[in-house]
Amino acid sequence: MRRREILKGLSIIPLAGVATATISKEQALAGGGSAEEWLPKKELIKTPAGSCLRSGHLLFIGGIGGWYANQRAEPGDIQVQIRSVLTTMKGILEGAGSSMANVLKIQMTVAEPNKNMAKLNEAYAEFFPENPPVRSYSGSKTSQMGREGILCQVSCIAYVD
Amino acid sequence: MDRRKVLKTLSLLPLAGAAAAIPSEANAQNKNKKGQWTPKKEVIRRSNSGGNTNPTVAAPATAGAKPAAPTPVLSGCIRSGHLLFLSGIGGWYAERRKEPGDIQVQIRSALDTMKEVLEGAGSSMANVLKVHMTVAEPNKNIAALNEAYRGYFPDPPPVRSYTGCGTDLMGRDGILLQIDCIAYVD
Repeated sequence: MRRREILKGLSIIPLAGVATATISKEQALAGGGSAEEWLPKKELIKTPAGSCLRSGHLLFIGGIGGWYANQRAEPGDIQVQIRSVLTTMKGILEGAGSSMANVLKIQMTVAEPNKNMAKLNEAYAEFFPENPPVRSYSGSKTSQMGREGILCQVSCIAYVD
Repeated sequence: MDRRKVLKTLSLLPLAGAAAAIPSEANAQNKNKKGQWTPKKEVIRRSNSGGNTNPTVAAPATAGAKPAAPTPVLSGCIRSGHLLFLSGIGGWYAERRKEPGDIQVQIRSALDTMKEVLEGAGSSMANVLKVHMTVAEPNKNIAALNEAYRGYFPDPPPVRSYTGCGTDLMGRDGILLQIDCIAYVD
């Protein structure tokens, strides 16, 4: 009885080993092959408009503020600010070999959204005429945006070939 | 015709500086690793589109009122490679339910929509990797939200983060949460 069990155990071990090996090999093939195919793992891309990170085919752009004092004298309203953000975003994306058409996901923080979202949307739509990215946002008070004058902050994930 | 296509491709290449400009047929022959993954960006439209029904956002061709509803401001669901990105789904839409309801009603409603969108795109709640929420009055609401949230995701649940804000900062009256996610799809 014991001997049989041991034999059973032995016969299972090599089989199981082979099975896992086969599966992982298949998975590797299905996934497109060797590990280095999804380079770069994490690459900082600097462009004149700003920088972003690339990992595989994804680009990550950090939150871009609607107003920077060194870019513009006056903060401007929500439309001025969202246009400014999206123009910067466009510059970064194109500098990194991607484009606004490649944007997959947008996350925004918007000051006083009940008041500002409709206006924001008007200007926003100009930048994504077709197949706009998915989007989500959080609202906050004007006094909670990090610094005075700023009305929105926008980050995104895009793809790049 | 073919020649024209090729010429077009050639003229685009230096401008774009990326294989994105090459049509996919060309990629099959091209041994370059660029361009082999698909879809690059596919809007999943057949499902309940989640955030697209938000009235602060131009809905796709809702008959009447506004002249020629323009293209929607956002997509409900986008696939890129093996990832699915969903727009923020609100806890309440007036056209779906009369009363906004409390945080539990709203999180259930949003997660039901999320499930529907994911399944419509060939994925599932089990495939969700990352959730982000905006929650009104989180100190008051997060415990009750979690109670209802728990049952929706099989083990292991997705990672999650949230931002809190006042009830008057949710974009419109009555809404208590907005939730989006990133999932994988096979």
